[in-house]
Order: sequence, then C-alpha cells, then structure tokens
Amino acid sequence: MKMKQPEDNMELEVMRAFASRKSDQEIGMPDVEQELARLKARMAPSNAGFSLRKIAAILVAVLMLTGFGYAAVRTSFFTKGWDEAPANSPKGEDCQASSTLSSTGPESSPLGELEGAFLLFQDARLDSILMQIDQHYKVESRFADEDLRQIRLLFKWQKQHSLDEVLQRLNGFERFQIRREENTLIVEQPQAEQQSR
Amino acid sequence: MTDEEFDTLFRQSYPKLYRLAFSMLNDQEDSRDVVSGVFADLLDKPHLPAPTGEGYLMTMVHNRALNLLKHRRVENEARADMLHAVLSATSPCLADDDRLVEVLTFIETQLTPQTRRVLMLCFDEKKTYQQAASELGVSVQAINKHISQALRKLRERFNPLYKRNK
Repeated sequence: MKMKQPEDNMELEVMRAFASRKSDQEIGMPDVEQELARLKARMAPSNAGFSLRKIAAILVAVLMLTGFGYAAVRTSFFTKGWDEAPANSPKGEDCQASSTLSSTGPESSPLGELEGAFLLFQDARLDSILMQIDQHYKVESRFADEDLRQIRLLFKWQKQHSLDEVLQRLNGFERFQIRREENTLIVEQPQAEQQSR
Repeated sequence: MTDEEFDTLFRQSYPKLYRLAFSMLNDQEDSRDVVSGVFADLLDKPHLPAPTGEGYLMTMVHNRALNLLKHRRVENEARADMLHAVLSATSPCLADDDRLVEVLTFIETQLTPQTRRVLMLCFDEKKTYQQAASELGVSVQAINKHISQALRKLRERFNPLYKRNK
C-alpha cells in the first residue's frame, strides 16, 4: 500500500522559527485587549448597518411592488381593446363573447393611437385577431382551412408596425401561415404540413 | 460560542496567531488585519461552537495571509522568490514552539555562517534572491544553492519521510 507522502512546509517553518526568536516589540505585537475592543467596535456598527440595510431592502421591495401594482392597474383598467371593437362588425358579438382580454399601451387614447400603442391578445382566436388587423390595415382575411380560425394565441400587436411586420410575427407561430396577396390575407396550413398531404 | 468563550479564545490565541501572520507577511498592519479578520469571521458565525485546538485558527490565519500575498501583485513581482516558497506550501505550518526552537537551533549550529546569513535575509527579512545576492556580493545562483542545501538538510532532520517530486 502506498504511503501518503507527508506534507512539507519547511520554508514556512523556517520563517516561523526566525519570527519566534523576536521579541513582541520587534514584531510590533499589538496590545491584545485593545485589539479585542477594536474588533468588537468594528463589528457592532455592522450589526446596526445590517439592520439599516435590511430596512432599505424592505423599502425597495415595497416600492417595487407598488410599482407593479400601479402598472397592473393601469394596464388592466384603462384599456382600449374589445370594448371599442366596431359594433357593426359581423363578428362583433363573437369577439365580445370570446375569452380574449386585450390591453393597449398607456400611450393610446380615444382620439387616436400614438406611437408605442399596442394590443395584447391573450388566448385569442386567430380569426378575432385578424378581424382587428383587417380593420386597421384595410385588408381582408380569408381562411383556406376553417379549422385554423380556432387557433388561440398570445400575441402582442404593435399598431405602429407595418402589415408585413405584423404578418412576419404571426408567421413565427408556425401553426399556420399567412400569405398576403395585395389586400387579401390568406390563412393556410404551414408549408411543411401542406407538402405532407 | 458565548461572548465569554470568544474573549478567552481571543486573548489566548492572538499572540501566536499574530506571530504566524507576521512570519508570513512581515508587516504589522497586514498581520493585524489578517488575525482580526479571522476572529471577525468567528463573530459572524455565533452558532458555531468554539474552535477546539489552535490548529483551526492557525489554518485560517495561514489561508488568509496566503490570499493576501496572492493578491498583492506588485509586491509579488518583487518578492517572487520567497512567495513561491510560501505559496507552494502544501499545508499551513502548525509546528509548536518546541519544534520551532529545534529548527532555530539546527539553523544556528548545523549550517555554515554564509548559509545561515542567506536564510536570514530571505526567510526572515523577506528579501528577494536578487537583493540577498547584492548584499552578500554573490550571484543569484549561489543564493539559490545555499537555500536548496539548507532546506535539504532541514528536511532530512525534521521531515525525513518527505520526498520532493521531480
């Protein structure tokens, strides 16, 4: 069995040996009682400091929670979305009956839409989303596959984006494909699925 | 650990711990900071029982002093020779006072005066090999040779089972 080699610190031992023969004065040995008092004095303020830090951390947390609450209230109650869907829309009732919640960015107003306004579709049907997009961009959506109407999405629509940008984002879902032919949007199955049929 | 236990431990251990730190750092302020830092760590962990034996505290002082040396880059470059020896130690030196006296006696009686002088310059006064060579009017290689011989003899006497890997 191989013996574990003993550790070596001979250099350190020589250093300590030389230091051991020096007087306390030569090595500047501090007064032990003074050092103890100094240490305790140093530690005491840090305890109070810790409490102050703790208080500061709690205040910051409260402020953050307040901010989140404010943002939640602002986005939930001061919104424009389905409530303002045109009443004469053929699908208006369906949209209102849907489980969709939408919200606009804080910059939007009843008088018009400012840059930065958006609509957030949460679990909204694709046909409902496209109805809004159709009205905004003056286009018409047609579904090549009726089943695709029921696909539900979480989608944030930035109204300042161009139609092509919006379609690009929607096509990112890969559950359907929207093709634009002038003022018509054709909603069909994704390309891969089409080829497999 | 109660306040009383802490105070007793502090008073009993401080001088030895300071000497250990000073032997490595050769600086009063640094040595004070290192030792105080070790005891501050103990105060931060009041739920731990009082350390039994000095070995634990010695190891903590050793490690803290080592970290300080490693981080002093500017000084390190100037004292590379000695620091290499310190930093390459595989464990802290926990030799008790009796052993240190034996080591000192061996140095003073078994080594040549020149070798003894070289050891004092490099290990006690923490001079670099170059500085020691300049002071003694010899080459750096000569300094290196003296130190190698001294350490070999010391190991033969005090750590005969150790074989340095080549």
